[in-house]
Amino acid sequence: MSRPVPDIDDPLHGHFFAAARRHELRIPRCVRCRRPSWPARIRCSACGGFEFDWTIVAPTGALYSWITVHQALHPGFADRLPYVVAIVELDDLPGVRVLGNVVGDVTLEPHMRMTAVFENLDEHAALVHWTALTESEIEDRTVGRSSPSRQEE
Amino acid sequence: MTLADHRASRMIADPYRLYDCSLETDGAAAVILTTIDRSRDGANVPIELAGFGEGHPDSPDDLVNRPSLLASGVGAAAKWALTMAGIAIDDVDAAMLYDPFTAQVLIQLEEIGYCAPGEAGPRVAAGETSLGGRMPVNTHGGLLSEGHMSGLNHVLEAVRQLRGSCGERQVVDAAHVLVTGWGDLGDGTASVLRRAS
Repeated sequence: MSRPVPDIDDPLHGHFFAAARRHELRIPRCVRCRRPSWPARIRCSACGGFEFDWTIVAPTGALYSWITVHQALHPGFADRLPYVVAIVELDDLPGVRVLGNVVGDVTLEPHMRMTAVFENLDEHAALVHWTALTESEIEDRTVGRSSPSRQEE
Repeated sequence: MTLADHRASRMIADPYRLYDCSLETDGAAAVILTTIDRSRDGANVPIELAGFGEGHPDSPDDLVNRPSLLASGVGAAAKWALTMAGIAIDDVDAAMLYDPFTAQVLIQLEEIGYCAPGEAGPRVAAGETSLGGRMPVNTHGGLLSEGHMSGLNHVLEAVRQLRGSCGERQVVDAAHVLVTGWGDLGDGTASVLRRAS
């Protein structure tokens, strides 16, 4: 059995996976109060607003927590064991944390710098994984902090 | 089971090994709720539901973005239950804490105010929650070692402790027992049971 794939027509999180296919990390912000609304919800939990802008954010953050899964809880993951599920707190939106797998041969440390890695599933959707941000990448991103991705907003 | 048995068991989701996880168990349990007056005609010693409460973490449906990953609703639930019963946590003689996994016991000991954050592990290791300790926990083995019957077996054990029918695992003079429940992503319940006077 293959892995379950995200539904880009899902009214709540479809945009997230469709944006990932364009290799963008997008988080919904309430149009009314501008607060991030994550995970996506029908209404803003802060002000009750119904409308959201899916805003591009820098695909970087700090490792908040993680576990290593050794037993397949879905048959589609059996050939991937063991795999890591990580929580990454986004640089651009403190307090907003995104789940994903960790890819690459990475020794994880609390708070280490992470960057998103997009895995294309088909022409419509991609998954957001995470890997360690290298020293040189950290420097690049610090220098170019008004990153190109933000200008696209 | 010895500590060595536990450490030799296979990893499920690090740091939980096989024996850190309960096994959902076929079984049945039932309690009869009625008024104190009617209960006095019953065949068994009546046990009073002295307090109960319910609580939820924020957000209730999302573990990842809570201010604290360890937050659950059990702390708020226990506060309600203890207040309704008119007692403090130090008055609790034994606790039946919902234990789908080992760490949930430690988290709840801290949330219900038994000890400060970070203290639960050392206190359990020192024997405070064992029979004869300051507040014995899950004298029946709990979900982990008796069986996962959605936690109703915790209520049965509380009743048995308060009736003094637990034999060699009896908590001496048990007068108040706290029972907790934990659902989904940390929705919490708590009840205080006591011997009817």
